Amino acid sequence: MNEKEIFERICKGDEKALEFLYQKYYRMMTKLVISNSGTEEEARDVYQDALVVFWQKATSGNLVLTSKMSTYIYSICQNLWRKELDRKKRLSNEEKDGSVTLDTDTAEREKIIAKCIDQLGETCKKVLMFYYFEEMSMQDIADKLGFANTDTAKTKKYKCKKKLDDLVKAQYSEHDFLD
Amino acid sequence: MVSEKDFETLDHYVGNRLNAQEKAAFEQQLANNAELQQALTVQEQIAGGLRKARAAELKQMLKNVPVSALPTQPSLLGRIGLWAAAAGVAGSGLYFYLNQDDAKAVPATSPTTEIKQDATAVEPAPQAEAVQVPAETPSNALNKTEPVAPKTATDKTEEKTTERNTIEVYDPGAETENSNASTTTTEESPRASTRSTIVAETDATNKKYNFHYQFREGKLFLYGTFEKNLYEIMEFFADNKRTMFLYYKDNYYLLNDESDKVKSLTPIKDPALVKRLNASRGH
Repeated sequence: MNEKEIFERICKGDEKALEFLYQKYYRMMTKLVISNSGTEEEARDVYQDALVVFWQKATSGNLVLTSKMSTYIYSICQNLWRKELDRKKRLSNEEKDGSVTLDTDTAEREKIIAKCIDQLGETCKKVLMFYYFEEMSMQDIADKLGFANTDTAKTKKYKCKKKLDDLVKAQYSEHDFLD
Repeated sequence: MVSEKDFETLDHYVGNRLNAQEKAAFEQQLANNAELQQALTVQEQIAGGLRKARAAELKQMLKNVPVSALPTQPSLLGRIGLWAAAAGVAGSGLYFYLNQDDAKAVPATSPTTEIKQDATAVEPAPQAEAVQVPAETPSNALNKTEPVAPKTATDKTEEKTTERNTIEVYDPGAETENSNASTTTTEESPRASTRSTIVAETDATNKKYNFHYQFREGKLFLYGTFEKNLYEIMEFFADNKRTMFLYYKDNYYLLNDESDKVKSLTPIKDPALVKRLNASRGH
């Protein structure tokens, strides 16, 4: 698979192409973190996050590559690692000052939503994830999930979203998150 | 209360599906509608949760992809060791490369194999019996035990004096030492004018022919990996006929120079002929 082919396949949402890309640049990308005071685990983490960012931009059609794919991913890795180093530094300073603040409200809301998503069926999860994360068109969702047509995909998405909204609202009410 | 239509637009807004104009219009509407703002907050949290879940799913997928171990930073000693190992490998490679070159060079230098032979030279072999070896039927020819006088077109007078066949045993080693030297005979070979010359060259690079021979432009080409100094070319002269054999790794091969076609080397199986040839070689 050449660069162009990999990119095209990723844009179409081919996860195998993403796996291939992951293996292809693994050493190059992780070396960046390791040679900048990061551990192997941190390096892997950063590289995986960078690829997820890349995937999201490519599949949603928000990416026009003007450089080599590796150069682009490398720059995402650099940014992510810089942010992580800043976060570590800030955390270390806050610990010294004793000024660590935890936004428990936000964390609690995130936990509720994650729990509600878990309660959905696999197809519902996929439809909603493809819609909000990959920003796929209804046609692409229908193709990917084997729906008869875009109307079926639309209806499925509507029903799944309604179900998730209801689950979240119910949980929010319980926790007094709804004003 | 947020209307169904506003909720739909809100969903498109959260899902990044509005164009710039629609987006601006919706944001204007948002600014004046507290209820819509509240709905937006919840919808953004839900969409955020879905995005996070999908990102985690993809990340998990990548975590399960097998990758080769990372190159660890070796210690100084380790690095020295690596360099030493690398140098060793490079050295070995160079050694084998040069040796290979030697092996290949042997056939190339086989102008050693150039055989300058006295066609009428008297056979120095121990046996007194002459061997006549016709090219076509060597085994039958060996049955004839009568002495055969070698003949040359240029030196007929020598016929009378030469009672025996000339059996030339080529010694590549000796040739290497002095490529201009005539083929050795125990007796003197004064008839230099009647010398015949065979130039043999080996070619180990030919992919098609790996154990073949060819007479071309007065030269003998041996195709295959003939080890250095392990082959001999034997020439027999009788009645103006030349018969040649190749001796290589305990086998004899008839060399037919009647055409310039490439022919395969087939070992002679006839035990009587092999015995005779062995005797000629002095074994």
